[in-house]
Amino acid sequence: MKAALSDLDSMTNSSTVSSQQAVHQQKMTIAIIGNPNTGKSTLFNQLSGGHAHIGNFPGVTVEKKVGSVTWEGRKLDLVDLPGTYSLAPRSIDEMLAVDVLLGRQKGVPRPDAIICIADASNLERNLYLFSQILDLSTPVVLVLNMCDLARSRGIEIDAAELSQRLGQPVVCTEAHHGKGIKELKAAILNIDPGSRHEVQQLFPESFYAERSQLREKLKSQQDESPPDFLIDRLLLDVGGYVESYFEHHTHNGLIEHLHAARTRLKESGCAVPATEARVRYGWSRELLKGVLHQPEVQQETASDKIDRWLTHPAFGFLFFIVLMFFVFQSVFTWAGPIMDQIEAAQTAVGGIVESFIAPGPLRSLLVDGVIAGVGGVLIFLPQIVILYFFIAVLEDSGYMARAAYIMDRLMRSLGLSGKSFIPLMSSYACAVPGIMATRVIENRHERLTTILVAPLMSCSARWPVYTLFIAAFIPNVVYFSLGDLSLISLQGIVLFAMSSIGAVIAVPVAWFLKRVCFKGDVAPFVMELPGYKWPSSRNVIYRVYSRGKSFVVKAGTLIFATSILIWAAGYFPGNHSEQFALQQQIETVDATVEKVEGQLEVAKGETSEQVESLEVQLKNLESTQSLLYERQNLVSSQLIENSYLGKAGHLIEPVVKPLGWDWKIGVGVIASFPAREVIISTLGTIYSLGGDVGEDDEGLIGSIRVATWPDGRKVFNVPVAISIMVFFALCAQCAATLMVMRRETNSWVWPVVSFTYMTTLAYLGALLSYQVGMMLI
Amino acid sequence: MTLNQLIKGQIARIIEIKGEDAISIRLMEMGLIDGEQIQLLGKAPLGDPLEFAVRGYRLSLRLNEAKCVEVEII
Repeated sequence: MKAALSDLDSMTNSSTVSSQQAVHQQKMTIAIIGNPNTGKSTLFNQLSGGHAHIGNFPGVTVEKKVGSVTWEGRKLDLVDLPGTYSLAPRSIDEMLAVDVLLGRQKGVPRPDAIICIADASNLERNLYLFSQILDLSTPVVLVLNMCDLARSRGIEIDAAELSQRLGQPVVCTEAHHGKGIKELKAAILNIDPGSRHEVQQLFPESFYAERSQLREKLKSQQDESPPDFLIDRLLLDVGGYVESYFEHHTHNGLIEHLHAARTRLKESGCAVPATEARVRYGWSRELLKGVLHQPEVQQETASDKIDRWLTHPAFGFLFFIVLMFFVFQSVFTWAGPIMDQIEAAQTAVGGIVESFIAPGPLRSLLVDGVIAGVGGVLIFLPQIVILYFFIAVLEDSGYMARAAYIMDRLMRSLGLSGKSFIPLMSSYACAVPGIMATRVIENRHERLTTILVAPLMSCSARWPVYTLFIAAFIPNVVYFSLGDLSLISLQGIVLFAMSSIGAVIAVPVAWFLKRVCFKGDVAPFVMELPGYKWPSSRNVIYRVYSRGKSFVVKAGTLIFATSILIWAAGYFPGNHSEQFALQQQIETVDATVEKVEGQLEVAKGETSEQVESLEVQLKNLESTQSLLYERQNLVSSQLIENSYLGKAGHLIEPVVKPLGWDWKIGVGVIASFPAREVIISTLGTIYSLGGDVGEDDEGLIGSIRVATWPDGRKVFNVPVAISIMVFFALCAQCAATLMVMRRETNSWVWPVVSFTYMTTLAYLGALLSYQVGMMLI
Repeated sequence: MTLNQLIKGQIARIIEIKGEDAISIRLMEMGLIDGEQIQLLGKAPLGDPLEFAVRGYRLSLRLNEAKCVEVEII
């Protein structure tokens, strides 16, 4: 900032004074940081008024949340940093917070002030992070949140005295109720931007002597010596991110010097890393003496009483299963009707467009490309909203940590942790909200592993594919029934097998990723179990809204673009004039049929002659109608065969032949890249039924049953059906999932990895099922 | 003895955190320091992880993490 100002000064020599005045009117940057579970996001929403710009920091998977506000004519940017217990970075993601606070992160100016939010009912531990923040010498406001909870536990804090001792403002808030926000705003506006305080030297002399030596050593190697804070981190964090950074970016024995320095510190009784915790906790205990009063004997809190049941070895587990079943069921059943309505609305809008525009490329683009594309995006929204509602409630109430606690042992056998359970379970409804839910996992590698296996869970989009092929080819043999209700049938077993195969395959995949790709990364499960509290409706609504919005805007545009591309590939380069003419004729005939039917209804009460003639007329019309439909289907199927998509299908036929597929299935698979269920309508089109068929369509089941190879052999049999189902169980044919993956990991690498490994697995799985199946029959 | 050997309800005093790896650093950051009291509150359904009360808050640790903490019963 200073450099920029001096540039400005040299350019406009005469206006030095006015540009300095402008400094005071310049935007202030405020960073917000705190321990997890301190109500930081609630406070951020309160301060930003719920308007935040959400993006990603470049190169990391950390969400960038910036709220721009104007308080009393003063413009401020509030930067929300991820919740953390400490500023000792171990990964590139954790380094981000340090870089932002030190003003080293591109695109974010050095904060003029920091808001450190602490849980008032657990102040001693929360002050650990605060003590590290004080070392940055940036002005900081300490927020004691959840003061009401602290009071209810008999904890009393003398905030004025604390502020006096710290030399920094201290504000008590109850962010859930919006209490104390005004005072906090005033405290921030009171800060003199650019001021710096002297850093208190908590460590023994020997530590600072080593730091000076290390600084000299660094100076000899780098043009610019890093800030003291980073040198401290280099010394203190054994195996930390700063150490590994310098290991890769410096030479001349810096690391040897570092090791020697640490040995010297150990000999002088100041062994790292233990010193830091001892010093800072000692400082915080000393600081709170006489400031914080709490009852000698800590009584059992309401939260402890609830926990006796909810983390109980037997009852807690049962409650968890019932709760998960309820959430899962709700995502499925509540979303269903809304999804049907979105689909109906899509058809209705398509109908309106059709009534205004004559058949032609524009209409096809609008109806089959644009409207189908938008519908394809919106159809996911109900599930995302409902799932996110539950996740927000579970997280805000404090139950999420218990869920991770209960499931951890089981999930660890898959190489994951308890925190992966909810994202993976959600992926059974839809991988899109599932992947979005992985944000609760702080460890980067664990989160990536979860994201990569999430699309293997059998989502609801696979069901149409299973239903179609099971209904068409798996004999309905019932093994066990209760009256009319068949409890165990072959069809049921196949459906169950298909929906579990992905989860089964996910076990070795997760194991491989953890052991081979992300080796050496131990994710500690040291996790706080926060006290239970009522979820704040404002928080829940805000989170559901922002997730939904970011999905529609970010992933939506890309899914939409993919749908248009697939439409174009299926549309061009054919000559569609006959198809359009037929469509026009069909619409005219349809309208006439309707009219005649109406006349017939009226005539029924009149003379029988009239009825007869009308019935004849109707019969003629209907036969014309069916002829036209037949012709249109033939034309459509020829058009798709000759389109780029069809050509691609013929091109890949040699590749899919070992799976027992003909080019038509190949086309269906390519065309279903935007979404798996698209294969149904594509098969419908190719098997000349027109595009509008469902998975229960008797016509489609009938025509795939009789489809033949050119030599007359039947295309479909049981092994082919199984091979297609296995392929769809394992493949990554879902643009939405890949786009969300790209958004969440902030990189194209992971969607590409995911698509590649899943397609390979799907191909091998399909190959195996077909070849083995053919040997058996 | 180590922290994983406590019986439900038992209170112990921390003697030392073994090791310098990510886990022991995290444990120290969470306030598990020599001299501090810690109580085992319960175990998850499969006996792992464990729930502790320390410095007035609730902390969950896996068995192998609890093994890094040397304690004595008070």
